[in-house]
Amino acid sequence: MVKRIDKLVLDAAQNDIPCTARPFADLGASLGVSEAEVLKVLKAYKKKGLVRRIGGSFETRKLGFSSTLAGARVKPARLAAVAKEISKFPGVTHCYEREGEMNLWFTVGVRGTMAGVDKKIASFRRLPGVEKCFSFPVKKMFKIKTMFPL
Amino acid sequence: MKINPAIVRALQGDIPLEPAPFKKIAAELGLTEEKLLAALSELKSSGALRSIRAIVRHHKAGYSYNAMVAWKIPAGRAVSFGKTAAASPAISHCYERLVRPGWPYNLYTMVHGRSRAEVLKVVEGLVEKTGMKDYRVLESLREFKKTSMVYF
Repeated sequence: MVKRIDKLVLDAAQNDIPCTARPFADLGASLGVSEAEVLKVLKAYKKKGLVRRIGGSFETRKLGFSSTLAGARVKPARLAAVAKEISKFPGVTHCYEREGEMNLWFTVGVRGTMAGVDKKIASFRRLPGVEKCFSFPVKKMFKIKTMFPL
Repeated sequence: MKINPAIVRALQGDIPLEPAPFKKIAAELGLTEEKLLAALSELKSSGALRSIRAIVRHHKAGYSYNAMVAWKIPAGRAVSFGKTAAASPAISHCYERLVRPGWPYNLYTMVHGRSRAEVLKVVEGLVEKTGMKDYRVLESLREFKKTSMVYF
């Protein structure tokens, strides 16, 4: 069972930690929780692994990077090996087996233009067992907000 | 806007969990705290920094089920569909993407829930609200990698 204070702090910290001299005091002030308690909760849940990271969330494109979502059809017997090979590339941040005709989905980000992304996708397409591999670049972003209320 | 890669590097991992984390980061970068805070505020207003935040492992927070749902939406309806989907708290990501031969799905929604039924209910709700019925629920079967981007 999550304590009330823990929920308050974790929900607020998922939304935004202010960029101020005393961010945890300021976050706590809006919740009626002390700076020390905020830090205690965040440290505890970081240690437990429920919190993966506390840091900056960036807009890839604005940092001069290009990225895409790719979907591939991989022979089932080769799926895990291909996924591991693709995941070795640091610019691949998400890689999932999904149900359906396209059974492997991953994101690719590189510094520079989309040409670099396409080149990377082309190299993945050549891996043994990959039957097809498409890039689905973004036309329009409607939402990116991960928020999991405790 | 000129982006200082050292600042991005300091924030792309974890910030120190102590009362004045930016003071510490500034010292490591050889900046004053004021300079760093001003740079952060500039990064935020340019949109390059969405926020400083806690990123939760959703499985551990009880959101054990997720699906990427790909929708086939007529071009003229994409924006209204996107806005309706974005309004749902259970949907974390919503994008319109290019289509490819044999893959006509142009809208993608990432749906999270505590169970398969909960996720499917969100999808059914969207169908009801928008009248769009051509979609694929791409359940995640195995996670091979999930990290944050390392930029510099």
